[in-house]
Amino acid sequence: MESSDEELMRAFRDGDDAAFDLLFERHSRPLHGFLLRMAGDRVAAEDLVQVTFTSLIRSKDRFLDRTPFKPWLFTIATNAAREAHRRRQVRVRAHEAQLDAPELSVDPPSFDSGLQRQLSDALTQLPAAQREAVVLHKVEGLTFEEVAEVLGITASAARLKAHRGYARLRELLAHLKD
Amino acid sequence: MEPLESELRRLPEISAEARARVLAAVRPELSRAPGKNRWRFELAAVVTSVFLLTAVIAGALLWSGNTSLTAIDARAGAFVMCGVLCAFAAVLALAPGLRKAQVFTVLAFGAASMALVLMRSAQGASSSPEWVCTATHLGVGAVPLVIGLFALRRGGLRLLSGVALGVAAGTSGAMVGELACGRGPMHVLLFHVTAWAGVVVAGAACSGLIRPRSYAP
Repeated sequence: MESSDEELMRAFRDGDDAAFDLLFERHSRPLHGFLLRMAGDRVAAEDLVQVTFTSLIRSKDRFLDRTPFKPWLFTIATNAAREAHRRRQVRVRAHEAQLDAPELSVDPPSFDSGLQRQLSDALTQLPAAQREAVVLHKVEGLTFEEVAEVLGITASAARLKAHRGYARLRELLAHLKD
Repeated sequence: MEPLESELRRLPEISAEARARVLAAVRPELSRAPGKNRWRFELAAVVTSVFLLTAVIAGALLWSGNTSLTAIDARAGAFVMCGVLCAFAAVLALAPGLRKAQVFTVLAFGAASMALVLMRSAQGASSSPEWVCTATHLGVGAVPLVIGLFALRRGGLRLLSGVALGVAAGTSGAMVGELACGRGPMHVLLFHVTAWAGVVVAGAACSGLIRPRSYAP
């Protein structure tokens, strides 16, 4: 029988490095999808996948027996994405101050289809917390309790953010129906 | 499922080359990965540093005749309170999975500092300036604070964990203050509690300024 994520993570924590490869195999694709939705470009998403798995290794002892693995992994990814976003904002502000010009080159689009690109653009227009809640719930399939754990908020606040974010996303993409 | 939801779920694929690149980049970390009890050792290091500093200073004060076992015994309640608070706050700061409870360290800090003020009765004049107590408090608090910040860089670094760590580190100064200072409650409030609050603020500030090595909770 296939080992659960939690069993693999416990094995990795206890010294079995082969378990890490299985966790990477299982989660690198969905994690990349999540981080691409968060960061908006492919290169940044790849960097964040690397940061997330590096963090997982460096903090493997902090994984407790009772912890569900997927929300734990996505908490790391969310923290990394927030920090990257914060640093990017600092760089943009510094750039603007230096050149006294508001424009900064935007990363090239990372989505193949036009619809995916519009979806990505609409997601980036959501407040960060709503975007995180929508993607974690609708894409990653986390329950509201798990989303709450990842975002450090209550389950009802997670539900509210996801619903508001999803409603706003539908508004932003309403023209696609026409 | 709505079209929007299914479109949301359609994952843009990461290429096999990119995955291999990421795996190759993270693999060297495996040889440097911590043991399964690392965070417990780090927690023990913070708490031990507080108690060790206090014990060393107590020994020096006893040896130089600046305090006595009777005087220490008279303030045993304060030492026990600070010791328990140190362990409590250090656990909340450094142990994984307790971030929701970290706010309780703020309440515990408020209650303990007020208790130190109320329990204090003047035990004679001192010739040293009052700010010496503040400087000593900050100085002895810095050691466990730095040890704890190194640990937090590896996971759990956030504002409230910095606050909790500051509360734990500051108990060293509070205990040294009980050992070495015989001034009254107003002095404790103005020169001890403010210094302890300074250690807490330093912990909070560092948690925002330091770049973490890991983003694990």
